[in-house]
Amino acid sequence: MTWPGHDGTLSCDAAHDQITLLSYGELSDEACHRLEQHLAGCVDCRDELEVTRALSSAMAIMPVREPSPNLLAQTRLKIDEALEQAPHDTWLTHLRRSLWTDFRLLRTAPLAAATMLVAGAGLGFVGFRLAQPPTATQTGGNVTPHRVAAVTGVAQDPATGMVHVAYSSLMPLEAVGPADDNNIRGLLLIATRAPLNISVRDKALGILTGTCSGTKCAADDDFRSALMVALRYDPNSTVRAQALSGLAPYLAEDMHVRDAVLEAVLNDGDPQIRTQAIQMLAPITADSSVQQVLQNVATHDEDPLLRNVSRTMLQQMPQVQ
Amino acid sequence: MGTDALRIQPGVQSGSLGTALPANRTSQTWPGRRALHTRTGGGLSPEDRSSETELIRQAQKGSRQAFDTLVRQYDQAVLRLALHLLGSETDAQDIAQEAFLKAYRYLGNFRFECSFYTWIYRIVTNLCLDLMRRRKTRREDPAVVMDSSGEELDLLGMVSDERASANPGRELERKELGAKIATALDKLTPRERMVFELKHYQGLRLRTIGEMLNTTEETAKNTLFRATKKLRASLAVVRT
Repeated sequence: MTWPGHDGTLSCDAAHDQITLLSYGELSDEACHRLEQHLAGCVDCRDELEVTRALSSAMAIMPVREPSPNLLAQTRLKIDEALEQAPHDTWLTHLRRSLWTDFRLLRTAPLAAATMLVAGAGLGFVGFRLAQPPTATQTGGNVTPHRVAAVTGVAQDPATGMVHVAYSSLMPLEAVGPADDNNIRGLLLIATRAPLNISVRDKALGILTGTCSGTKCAADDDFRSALMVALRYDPNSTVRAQALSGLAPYLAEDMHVRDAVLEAVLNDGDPQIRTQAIQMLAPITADSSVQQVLQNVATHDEDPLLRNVSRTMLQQMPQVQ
Repeated sequence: MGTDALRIQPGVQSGSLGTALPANRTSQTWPGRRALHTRTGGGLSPEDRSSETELIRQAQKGSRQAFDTLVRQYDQAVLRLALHLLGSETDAQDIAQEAFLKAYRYLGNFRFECSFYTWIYRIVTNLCLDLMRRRKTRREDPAVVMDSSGEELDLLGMVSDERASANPGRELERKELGAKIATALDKLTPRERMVFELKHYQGLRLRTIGEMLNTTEETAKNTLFRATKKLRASLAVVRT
């Protein structure tokens, strides 16, 4: 860095800038020494130093404050919700990004040429594969869920109980297997998030719920999370009702499930789902948060039917006064 | 003036603005002596950095839990910056949400060429700059501070002074000064305001600021000079 000035000393303009840097701890020892020499003989620059100090002192009137715990908690909630609804990267996105990054890293012509050659051959191969019959049926087998782009159809054969799941990977595929097969379950869990197809979401939740009756899936967190996400965010009331039914076995021991059901009681847009959720709470009315929600609905809810159902529930509780 | 009058104090971490004063002024407040930021990426220990690198790799492979941990490490700092810069809880909240959402979407593009701290701050500063530019275009009044419920807050009431209750006259002076400062800050361009915020209030190194704003240290330095000169002109040298 050069600082203009005759005979190697600082000019006043340069000294002013250095005073600013000094005030922010950005001045080197050497520059600091030269500034000190300049200040010793320059009244104007000593005044400048004083003015800089006064400015910073004045700016301190607006200190940086920590966000309040409330604001921080609200923000975390908003971030969580936004991330929950954010589309997950598919393998195709990963592949595209990876290829693009690798391409950017190729700086030399020979490498670029070689890559283009390989890419051309690859595209030819893909084109050849795409020209083949578009669907293939896979029975059970190893379906890797993260390679599944979307599930497009779910059906269960009432006679055999076998589940047919149509899904897209590089090309449309179909997997068939019993409902408790791990691969089929993985596909069904993906199907619960199918954004456009209500019937797929509904059927997938129905089959998962059917196979998870009793304690069979008690430890399956993915299934439980899928049900809670569907109950909270699915726009279709049939799917939400299905998810609500599926959560019933976990209501007693899982507080997260309980919270999701209580949220449905308070906020769901469909009165029938709210009624169903209230009735599901019968075995756990000893919980004070459940009682509080029921009392709120019984006294403040706009829907007379729901007020009535809640009141009935409360009356049936001998322990609630 | 003593030989050590202007030397940077030994033991004071560079970037924390701990600069010595001329001996006859040491009893007075020196700018930036307050350690305003409590966390920087540069302040991570090697163990923390390695653990953070591992978290980023896991998040890049799709681990939501790893990404949540990263969010928890930085959300408070991001919110603090946006809140001080924008003066609105609602805007700060929106910026923090959008910043982490962008980070989630584009984490795969993070190549460890800079610290994650610099990367996430780059996203936040870009979002804040966009908002400040939109405000300038709409000629919004930045001194009007809103809380998260949309209620107007008394910005100057937030100015802290232990002596305020004991001296109402002094408190009035401080409020007037606060109003002048808010107006002076508003006269800066969004970029000047950002550099001043990151340097003066957040205490970041000019080199880091340059990285965050996709520019050089020299440009960041010149922007800082312009900002301080404008502020001084606007405030006509306020002395406290």
